[in-house]
Amino acid sequence: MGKLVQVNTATITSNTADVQLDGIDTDDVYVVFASGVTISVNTAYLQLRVTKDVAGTTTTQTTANYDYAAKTLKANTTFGNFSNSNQTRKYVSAAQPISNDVTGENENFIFYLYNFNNASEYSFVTCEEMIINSTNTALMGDMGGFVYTVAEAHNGFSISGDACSISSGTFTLYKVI
Amino acid sequence: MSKYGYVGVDIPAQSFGSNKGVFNPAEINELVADNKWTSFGQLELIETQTASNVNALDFTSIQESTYNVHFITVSNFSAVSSSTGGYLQLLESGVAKTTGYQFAYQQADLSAGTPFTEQKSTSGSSMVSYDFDPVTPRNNYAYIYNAGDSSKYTFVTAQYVGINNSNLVMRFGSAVSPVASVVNGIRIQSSGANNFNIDSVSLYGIRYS
Repeated sequence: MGKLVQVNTATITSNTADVQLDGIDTDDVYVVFASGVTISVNTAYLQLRVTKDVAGTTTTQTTANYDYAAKTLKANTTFGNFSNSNQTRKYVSAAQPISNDVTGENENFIFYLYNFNNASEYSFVTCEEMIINSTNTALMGDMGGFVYTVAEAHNGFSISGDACSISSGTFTLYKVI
Repeated sequence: MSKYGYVGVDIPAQSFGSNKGVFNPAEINELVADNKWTSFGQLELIETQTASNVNALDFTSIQESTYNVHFITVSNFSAVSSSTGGYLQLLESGVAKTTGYQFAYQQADLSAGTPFTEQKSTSGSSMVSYDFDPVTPRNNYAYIYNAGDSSKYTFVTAQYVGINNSNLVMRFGSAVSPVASVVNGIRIQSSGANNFNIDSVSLYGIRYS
């Protein structure tokens, strides 16, 4: 019977530069839920990457091999398009500054991970993102995806801060079976 | 006769996150039924309802203190006799919140002259809104985040697909109730006097840890 099997989880309660969720070791589809995420610096950014087992150490991959395309949905204005190729990360929510200075503000995400365990294929991610934009205190988020264009196996997923740390949140990696 | 592999009087009590012993399949099934078997990440069914010619449908026991994330599926949501709209709203202390939402959805409606449109607001009356004709269905899922956390806003991502004027319609996107509060219920509400039917609506919790 189909279900979600928890592979890894991290509950962040103090500043953490990079939340790595590793443990991908089968050809199944995986999913990451991240809820109640906050950052240490108001108006900073979050970024997404894949991780790889390098000599036994889970290592976030930062080479310029990220292509992404998303529709950026915005509650207060015209939706945007967010796309690029050969970047060193996929920024959350069109690289817009995140608001975390009002009680209650937080970020929430779902990422489905495809082909991560396949050494002959690129790794793909679909994104459902929700943030509060610090420029206008409005809901926004990317709906789309990205790919890491190196045919190799990846063992996990990374969410990290740009000009900030992640100060709280619950991050869980599941295998979809 | 043994229980959980133990014989005698000191048989350990079982609870979620604390299972001790050696279990046979029947004992596992019994503990699963009592929600005492430790298994992370499963979708845990909270409640399933149907709706027949009603104006509103509530989930009032959503176990918000147990689950960080809820998941709701709606199958064949349709107007009874006259076209109407509908909403998914949050209940706070049992009362429906009817204003102050923000939402942003991309819509594709193949019956419209401009098929692709944006649905957005910073002062909305719901998390998800529907408009539909008699009989023609909407099918929908939504993830709901942080309902039970009094210090956080409650967010939703949602998608629906259905038929409008004999053509495909779909929406995907997200919404937020930008008030730090506890949400202890969910309401599906008609926008007017016309009622709706729903074949099946199920609410689940996603158990994290």
